[in-house]
Amino acid sequence: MKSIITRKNVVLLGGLVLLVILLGVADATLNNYYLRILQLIGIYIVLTASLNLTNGFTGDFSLGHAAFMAIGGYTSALLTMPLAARALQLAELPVWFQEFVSPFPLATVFGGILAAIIALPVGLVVLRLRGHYLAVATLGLLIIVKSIASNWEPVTRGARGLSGLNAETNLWWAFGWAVITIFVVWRMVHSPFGRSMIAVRDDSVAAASRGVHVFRIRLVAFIMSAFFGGVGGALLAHQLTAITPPTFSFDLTFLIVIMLVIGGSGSVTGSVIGAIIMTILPVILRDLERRFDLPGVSQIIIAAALIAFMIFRRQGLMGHRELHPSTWFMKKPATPASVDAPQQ
Amino acid sequence: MLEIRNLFVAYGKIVAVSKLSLTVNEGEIVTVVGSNGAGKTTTLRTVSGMLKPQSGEISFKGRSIVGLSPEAIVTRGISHSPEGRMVFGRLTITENLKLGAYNRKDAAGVKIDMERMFEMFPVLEQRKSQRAGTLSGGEQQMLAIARSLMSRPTLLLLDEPSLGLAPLLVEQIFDVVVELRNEGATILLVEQNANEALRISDRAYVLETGTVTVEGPSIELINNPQLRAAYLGLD
Amino acid sequence: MTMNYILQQLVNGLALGSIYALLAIGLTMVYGILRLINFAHGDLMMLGAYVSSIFISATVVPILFAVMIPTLLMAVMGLIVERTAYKPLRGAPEVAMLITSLGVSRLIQNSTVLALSPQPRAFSLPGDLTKTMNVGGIRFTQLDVLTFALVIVLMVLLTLYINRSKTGMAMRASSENLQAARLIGINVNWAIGAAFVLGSALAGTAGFLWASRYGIIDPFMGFLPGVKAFVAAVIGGIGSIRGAVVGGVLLGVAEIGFVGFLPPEFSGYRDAFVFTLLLIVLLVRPNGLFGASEVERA
Ligand SMILES: Nc1ncnc2c1ncn2[C@@H]1O[C@H](COP(=O)(O)OP(=O)(O)OP(=O)(O)O)[C@@H](O)[C@H]1O
Ligand SMILES: [Mg+2]
Repeated sequence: MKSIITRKNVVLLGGLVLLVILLGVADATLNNYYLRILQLIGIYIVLTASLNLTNGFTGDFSLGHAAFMAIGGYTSALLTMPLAARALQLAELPVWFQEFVSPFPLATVFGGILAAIIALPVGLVVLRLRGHYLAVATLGLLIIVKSIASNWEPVTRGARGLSGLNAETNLWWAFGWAVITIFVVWRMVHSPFGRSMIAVRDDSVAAASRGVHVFRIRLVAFIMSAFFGGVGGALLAHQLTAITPPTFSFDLTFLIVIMLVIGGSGSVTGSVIGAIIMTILPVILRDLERRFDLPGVSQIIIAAALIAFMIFRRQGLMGHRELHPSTWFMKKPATPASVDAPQQ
Repeated sequence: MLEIRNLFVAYGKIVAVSKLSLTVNEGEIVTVVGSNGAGKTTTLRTVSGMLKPQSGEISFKGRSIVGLSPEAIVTRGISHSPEGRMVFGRLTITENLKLGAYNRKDAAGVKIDMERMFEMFPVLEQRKSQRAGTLSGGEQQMLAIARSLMSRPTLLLLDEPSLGLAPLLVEQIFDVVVELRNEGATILLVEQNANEALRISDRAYVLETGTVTVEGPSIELINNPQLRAAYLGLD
Repeated sequence: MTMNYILQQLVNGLALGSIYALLAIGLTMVYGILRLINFAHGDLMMLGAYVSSIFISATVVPILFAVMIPTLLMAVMGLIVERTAYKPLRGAPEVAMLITSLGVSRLIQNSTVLALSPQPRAFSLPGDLTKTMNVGGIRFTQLDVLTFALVIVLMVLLTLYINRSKTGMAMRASSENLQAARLIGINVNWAIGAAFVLGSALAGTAGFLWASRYGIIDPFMGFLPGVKAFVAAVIGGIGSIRGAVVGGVLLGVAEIGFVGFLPPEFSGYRDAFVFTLLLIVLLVRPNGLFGASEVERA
């Protein structure tokens, strides 16, 4: 058996301890405004890293991430809603439901699980398509989910949405889930399964002829991605404390896609970088937008940057490379091939 | 007329053609033979501007054509009838022919040439307003050749015109090539059907993994027993 | 439910479907050649609607300007978008083009927000166009008549152009086999430009029609109709102009029928219905009604 005290693990542990310390300091010193931005970074890391499973690693370009977020968001909100708010908003639901409040962590997991369960039949349908058609079909999924959220009055309260949730999402939950997501995605991608994912993306016909179960791989990636999408939705819902159908709009999907492509789809650490940049940048830009009264400018800049990226740096900041802790203190920089190294 | 010197072409990291040199003189038929994946199609596509070479020189009538767009190369007088025919199946035969003359400005000349094509390939005339997709494989090959002749090329590149055709049709296609030569055309012919191709051509090149291994008058290649066995698969 | 009611719904469905058809033509032409879903197509319709509104509110100019000017301006706009955003991506993976078109869509929407305002504004036609006529119990407006007439005339012109002109022929050839088209010397950038110019012009016309029908315009109004028009193009068979027209009309009729004939609590699901339809078509008949090109499948 290999010793667990490897350089890699030491660096990882050190990194985690550092993260905990930093978060602790942040938690104690920052005001609410900045804390919320930090929480958002954690949430967006969850969302971007999970979307990377499909859009980056198996090459199934989904525009439906916000649909799974909506499922997770609404499910968790229904589960955690305080009884008083529940009596007011959800009187039409059965009595047993009026008396049962789930703790937030459980509700988050549940939101993820329901998103994953729904992703199974959805995946069986939409993954029969590829490329553009998959993109439009998953966009369709988002629109269908939004329609349901807007119209299923007894459960979702339609356009009024669900409100009065407790503000459960804090730095610890946001970054706890971010670390879990990164860990799971990293392990998946650097396993034999992950190599199959990449083989499917690069040439699905060749992969199939080498005995890779192409469809199963894509389906598993889709479901895993949906799970964390649901978790992210739950986290977002309990940060906002109120959700309506527009909360889970196409804009949200699009933002996550931007994070992914700017960070570099195909790189886990790229997702993290993309999520950080594209959480902070819009905040700054929106601030300027308000200060100078130039509505739309932040979106214009972001869209223009995206187009420029597609033209001049299609692979995003990281491409397929990774920033891997095990290489941080070595002399040689990580080569692209080292992507495969950790899990042999 | 066409002079390729020291050509390198790669698809990403896969080198398909390396150190290839080849000449076609005016009025000649030059055959290129070689096994699958030897780089024949790659060479033709590079000449017609569809691929950009890594390095090397291609000159046509004494002027370099490397880096020119496919349109510009067609306009200079090189026409490429591609492997697998690639006729426009949803367009009519007449439309396919008209498109072959896309860059020509002399409407009257185009009309005359169209008539000429119909004389040369009577099948096409009978079915001229049908969709090209309804033609048989052999007929589509005739259309592909006719289409590439519509630009009035001074050099014709033919990539495996007999591919997938029944023996009778193969004969017909080779008859057409001979007829074109008799009219003074210059042709660079890529063929798997080495025996036939060598019989009607003046000189030939054998390509192996992207480079020329043997070259000479066709007649010598046919009669060289070693070559027959090793490269041409003839007995 | 009377016969009149049914016919009435049919008129409404045809009117909406005509607009989808106009949009779908542009999408299908571009997709046919470039394999690009132009998500910004609907946003050109939105711009067309805004341009049109300038002429609608100026009562002195004839209504014809409100149709023609946006049509011409969007033709130019479409070409600008193609040349600046899409042309640098020739040969790039299709996902890169798709992301770019999403970016272009955002850019156009928010530039409109910046230049004008995010608030919706009214788009009111001169009274005589919206006056209802009653023929045998079916009510329709002059606008309906104008819509049908315009759409039919434009389609005939477009079909003639695509079928008869040299550029039209080059477009069809490029759409069928881009490689072969280049090889025989067709300037495919010209053909692509033509597809954008023609398609975007029709989107400009659609802008006028859409705004007239709903009486209100805003910077984000174009995206969903654009995507729905793509659905229409898929239903008809992507790459086929006839398919785009038939798919657009069918989708419009189906959507209005869904709202008009089911109990009112379903009407909120009309968008969901459209995309469910898309999924069914993609699974059951991926090449659509008239499609020759293949849907990329796993
Ligand atoms: N689009 C491409 N991408 C990557 N590699 C390619 C591509 N086209 C050809 N190749 C490779 O380049 C080499 C030469 O191919 P080419 O098509 O020129 O051969 P060929 O001599 O025409 O073969 P054939 O007789 O089968 O037509 C082959 O190894 C082939 O696999
Ligand atoms: Mg070949």
